[in-house]
Amino acid sequence: MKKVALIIIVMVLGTTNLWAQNYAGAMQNALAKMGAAKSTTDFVAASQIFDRISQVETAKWIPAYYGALSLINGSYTGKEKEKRDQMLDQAQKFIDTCLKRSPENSEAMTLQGYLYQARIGVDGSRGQEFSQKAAGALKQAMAWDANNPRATSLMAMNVFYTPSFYGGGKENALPLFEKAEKLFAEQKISSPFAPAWGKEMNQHFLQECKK
Amino acid sequence: MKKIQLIFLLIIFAIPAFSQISIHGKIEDTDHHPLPGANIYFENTYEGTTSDSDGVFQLTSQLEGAQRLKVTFLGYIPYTVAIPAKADTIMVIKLQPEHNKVDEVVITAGTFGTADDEQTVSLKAIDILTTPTSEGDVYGALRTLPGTQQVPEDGRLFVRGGEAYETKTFIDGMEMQQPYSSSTPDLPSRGRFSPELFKGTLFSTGGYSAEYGQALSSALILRTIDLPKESFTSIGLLNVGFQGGYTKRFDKASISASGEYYNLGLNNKINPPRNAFAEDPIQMNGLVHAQVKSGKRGMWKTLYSFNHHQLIAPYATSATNLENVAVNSTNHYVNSTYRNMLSDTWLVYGGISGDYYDDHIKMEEGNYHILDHYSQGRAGLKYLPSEKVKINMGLDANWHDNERSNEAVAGQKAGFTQRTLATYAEGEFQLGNNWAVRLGVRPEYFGLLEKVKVAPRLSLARKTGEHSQLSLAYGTFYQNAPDEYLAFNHRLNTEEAKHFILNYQYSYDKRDFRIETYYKDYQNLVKFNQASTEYAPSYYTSSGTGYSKGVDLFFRDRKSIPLLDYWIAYSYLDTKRDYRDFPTKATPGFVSKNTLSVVGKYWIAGWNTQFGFSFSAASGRPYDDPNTPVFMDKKAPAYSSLSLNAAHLAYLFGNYTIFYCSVGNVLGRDKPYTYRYTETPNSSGVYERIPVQAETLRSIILGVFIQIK
Repeated sequence: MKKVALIIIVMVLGTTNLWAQNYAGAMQNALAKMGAAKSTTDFVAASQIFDRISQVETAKWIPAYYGALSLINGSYTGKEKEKRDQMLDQAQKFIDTCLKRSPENSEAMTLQGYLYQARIGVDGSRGQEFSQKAAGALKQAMAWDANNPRATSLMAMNVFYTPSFYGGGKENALPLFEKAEKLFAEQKISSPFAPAWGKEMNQHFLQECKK
Repeated sequence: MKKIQLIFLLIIFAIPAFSQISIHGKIEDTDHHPLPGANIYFENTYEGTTSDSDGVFQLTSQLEGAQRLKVTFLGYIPYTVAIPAKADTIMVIKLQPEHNKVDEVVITAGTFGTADDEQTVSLKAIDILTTPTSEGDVYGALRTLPGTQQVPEDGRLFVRGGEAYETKTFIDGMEMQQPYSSSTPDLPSRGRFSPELFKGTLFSTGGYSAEYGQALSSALILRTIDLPKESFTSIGLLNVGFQGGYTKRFDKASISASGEYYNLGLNNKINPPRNAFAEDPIQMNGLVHAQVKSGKRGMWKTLYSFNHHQLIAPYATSATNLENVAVNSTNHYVNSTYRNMLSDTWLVYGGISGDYYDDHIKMEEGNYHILDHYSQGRAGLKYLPSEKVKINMGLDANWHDNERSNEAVAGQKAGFTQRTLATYAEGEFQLGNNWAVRLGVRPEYFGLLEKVKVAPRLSLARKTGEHSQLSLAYGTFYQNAPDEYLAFNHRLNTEEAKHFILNYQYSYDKRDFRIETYYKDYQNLVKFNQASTEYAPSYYTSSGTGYSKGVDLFFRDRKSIPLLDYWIAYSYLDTKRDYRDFPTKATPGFVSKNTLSVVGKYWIAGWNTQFGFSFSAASGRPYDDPNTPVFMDKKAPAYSSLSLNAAHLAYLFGNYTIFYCSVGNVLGRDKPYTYRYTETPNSSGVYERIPVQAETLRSIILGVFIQIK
């Protein structure tokens, strides 16, 4: 009978665990979905899981952060301009939520810069306006946390894509990518799910600059 | 024992089966198209799913009790439905398209805007600077928009048959009494401020909001820039003078100071004017602009400007005789404004301003002195409960003291002190996806008249297609009689205009088209009583009337040819007035029936250079020949002018540098704008005709502008 009771307890626990409001589990699941995402639909679906978590965990900024990241990355997979802008509009709402829940958050501000860059990805003719906006956001992110490797790396990308005539180009971007590489090596992941992405992208651009 | 175990196992597996919610469903739009990628979830839980490529979803859950199912999808209004406990159901959910911001229906009749919150056809600061005819002047660029008249010898804005004074300029909501530099007759005035000071311009050619008043025809609403990104120094060298400025950016504030000095002496030697100046025009401007962020979404802005202008210019008093007219004018303007979003739905704003203006004009017939003080206070509140509702209300008070004298004649003095107090309330509502309505009212008390006048405003817009809309606007507008008449008769009624505007606009993917037709009715215009004598109060009456009607067309295209931006503006105007010294109803001398402007700008990336042209043409304006009995029956020659400019951008020693060159009236067309006649007949009893012409045949501006970070 004891055995039976144990089985009952184990099974009940097992099922509830599977469906429970488990933050860590849900986040892991969503991060896995985002990591495996290939199409716009995948990225949107991942962002929706983050959205649900974010709506329950109203004190946490991390779910909204990934919701935004998922949509920004996803915007590059889209084809229709209008749809892509809509994804970025939604991502902007996530970032606003992040900054509301965690003011002066360098990671969230970095994502703001990343989003502005994605706007250029949608329509190249916005380059001048949004590269300035991106630079402004990234500068702010670096002011809030000078050791944020993602802010530094994205700033380097901004410089990379600015014509050398305006003070951009490979030569001017290289020292920034190198600095970002150093910061990536030194970065400590302070809490589970804290942002840790960007190292590979930085490596890629570092190679490009050295070419 | 085994039996018991089995029962338990059954119970265990049964529990989920009993408590489960199971929903199969499909998400569609209102036209039955499936919506793939919708977010379907139970509110306040992690549980949910995404609809597949056919819009189909399946959601099962162990959640106990009743739940709320929510469906969200980009661009659609979220949908929520109650799901009873243990529901097992199939449902089709239809989502309503959201109010799409880009294609939202907005109040546009009469308005050209650039402000962030206004979705109208627009001109930005850079557009103004690079429009060749503007020569860096805000008003010069606005003259390439429909609804404006070409009155090149004046330089001010004449809108839809209205006189220049009927257009008012507002800076951060505060009225600017003297927006133009003063000038002698026949020499064009310019705006006092550089276009770079403004982040947005809203140019209303009629039917504007109840938030503003005291302009019969048109309101130019300018908003100054917010915090600049970083500190910088700017230097400019021109053939007509130099300018310099420094902007310091602090964490939550910034201050900038700049000065300009213009002297046409050098330029008049290189490109001599028709008649030499006894004293070359000199203009000095100073500007201090400070912005302080207050809290998260608040901003204080303070602006002080100083402007001094002096010249002695030749003025033709007969076909052969020139007389010198000396102008010496000084203006101080200060305004301080505050805006703050108190919450997501409440915004407060307000400001105070002061305008001091001291103007001396010396000519043979007299030595005129005008001293003008104007101060204004304003406070308002905006309530924005949703995207569909905007409520705006406030108080607007001003005090205006004007004194004028002919210092050559003892006792020839006049003036007035006018106080006005206005309140306004306006609501803008989106009704469904296709309709928008704006209702406003502006009761205004005029001190000298001891009367309250209530000005209603109404606008209606209807979306006619995905990118097009039709708008209608109506409004009554009151304005004090012009200073120069009010000074002599304090009981002059406020001049009044009623606007009726119908507008159609199509805007898609960098192509804008709009057509607007209007009717304006004027009442209480100042009219002279010829039976009385000039300067006597009874000489000035409010019995003048008039009308204006016309069609304005605008087309702008930034798409068809890459890197080419061009616009075409055409205005047809039919207007007549019986006012001032007119013996009968007639078309005033500043009116052309047909006006056309074409502006084009082309950026050559390889050269880092932008080339611009603007062409303006207008049919001949009427003028009166006092030697004939019929009033205003003569027509001056048609006007046309082609201007070209080029701006080259370089990056010198790590600093942005712009080389700029512009030539006005390139083709050297040398027809008079119109004709004047001498005030008294000559010895043979004939009034002599005097051509009104440009001072220089072509105008040339060369400059280098450097920005140092």
